[in-house]
Amino acid sequence: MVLAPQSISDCLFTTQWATYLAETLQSPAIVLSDQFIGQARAAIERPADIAFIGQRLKATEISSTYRRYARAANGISAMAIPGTRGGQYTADGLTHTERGTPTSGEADHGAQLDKRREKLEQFNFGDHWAVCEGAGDLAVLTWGSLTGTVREAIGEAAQDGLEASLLAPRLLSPVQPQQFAAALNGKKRVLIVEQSHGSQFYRYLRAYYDLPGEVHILNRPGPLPIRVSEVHRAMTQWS
Amino acid sequence: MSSVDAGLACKPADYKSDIKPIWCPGCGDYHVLMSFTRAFAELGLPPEEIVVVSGIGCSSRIPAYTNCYGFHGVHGRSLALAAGLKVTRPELTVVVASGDGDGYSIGGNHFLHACRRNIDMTYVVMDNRVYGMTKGQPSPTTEPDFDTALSPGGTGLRPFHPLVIALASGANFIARCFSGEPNETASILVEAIQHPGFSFVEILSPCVTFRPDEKEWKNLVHPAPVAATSDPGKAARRIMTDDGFNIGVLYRGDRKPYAPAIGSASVELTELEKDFEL
Repeated sequence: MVLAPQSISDCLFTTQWATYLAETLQSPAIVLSDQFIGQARAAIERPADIAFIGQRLKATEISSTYRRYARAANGISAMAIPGTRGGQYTADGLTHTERGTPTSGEADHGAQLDKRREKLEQFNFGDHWAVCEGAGDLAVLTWGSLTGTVREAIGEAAQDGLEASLLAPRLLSPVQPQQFAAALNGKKRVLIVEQSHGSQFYRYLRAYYDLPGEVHILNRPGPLPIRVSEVHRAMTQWS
Repeated sequence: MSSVDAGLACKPADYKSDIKPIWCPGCGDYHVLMSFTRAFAELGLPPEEIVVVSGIGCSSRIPAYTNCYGFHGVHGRSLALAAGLKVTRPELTVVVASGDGDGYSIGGNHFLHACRRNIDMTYVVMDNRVYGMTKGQPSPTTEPDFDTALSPGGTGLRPFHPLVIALASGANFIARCFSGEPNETASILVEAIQHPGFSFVEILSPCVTFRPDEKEWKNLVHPAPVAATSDPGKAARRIMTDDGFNIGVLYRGDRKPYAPAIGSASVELTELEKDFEL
């Protein structure tokens, strides 16, 4: 899983959520910071109490048929932790069987790959996967610290009479195609704003999502941050 | 994995899994596995309270061949993983298995700092002076004149001296073993596991496939002529000047192991706020 906070204060929320997801899904979660967040200081509101408590599915009563990586309906199998009698297994980086035994068997390899995919596909990530705000036939997509910049630009555009929506995924992977399609339903124009030289975010979106209507990209590499006025100009001077 | 009946003393076989090792016939690592299981049995440790952690390479296959908890992790990072485990679960016995490539090259930096931190765990490096799994490239302990098609003319490089580096970096127990002497190796492993702090055990373990010359090691090894010392200066001189085939415990230190209290650190928000006052 790959997650990206959208502001300094959101770093706490996103990291708490990432920890919750990692524990619940038994999957590594990477939290991406970016240059602006990493080098900025800000006075923020006192954080809310922790919203998530990750629950690792543990095997506490071990039977003779216990298999650490057994296929399960939701893809998540109970983990025996060291000290649990009879639950011994090796967590192996190699392709392995349901018991953790290294194998080169095609069937085992496929089964474990399916298991890892299924648990991510079946899990309900809820509304935290992205920030979706506003309305209008223009959607502005961005991620990370540019979320605040885009939000401010949308506010300025509204004062000019241009209504637009903001879509900023907090969860970059796994992708959420249904939620993404719903968020962009009816949009006629899409502006993608990203701080990169090669339009990496745009290309990533194209790989996994359908982008409706006419698509423009506002991108530039760091170190100079993309400014509110630049986003505002890209929104209002559409050609 | 098989379970062992509670209350019964474990035998070496109880620490072996039912997975058949895939090492080459004649590999020294078979005997190292035997030494592991004998040492665990002698210590009377329940299998579920032992964790064997490894990186990548022939030697790092060993966790799956035991009936303990195991983690076959990332190349060269076994010590970092094991340190985290031992710090959070100090009641467990943590044994780390590695080879000369995984431990001294890819994981070389972790080796230094694991010695320095002196966490109470045992680090076993099966040294065959070659990258066997990847078909015979020179490793950090390979002799400079190891002349093969993969290293024409030899590397010309001075070999890494792991025991001296362990000593200089702060390891609390240092020993050298030979895989062909599994009983002696098991005894030293018992002592290494029991010794507080970071114990480093280098096991000369021949690779008969890519280093057939190492079959001769059985004729070269000999017991260390002097008893182990707790004086790092004396130990350094001995280790630096021996022939590399002295077998036995070479150094027993008395440094206090690093064992941070778990869950006791707490910082009030008001204390943090002071750091950010404008």
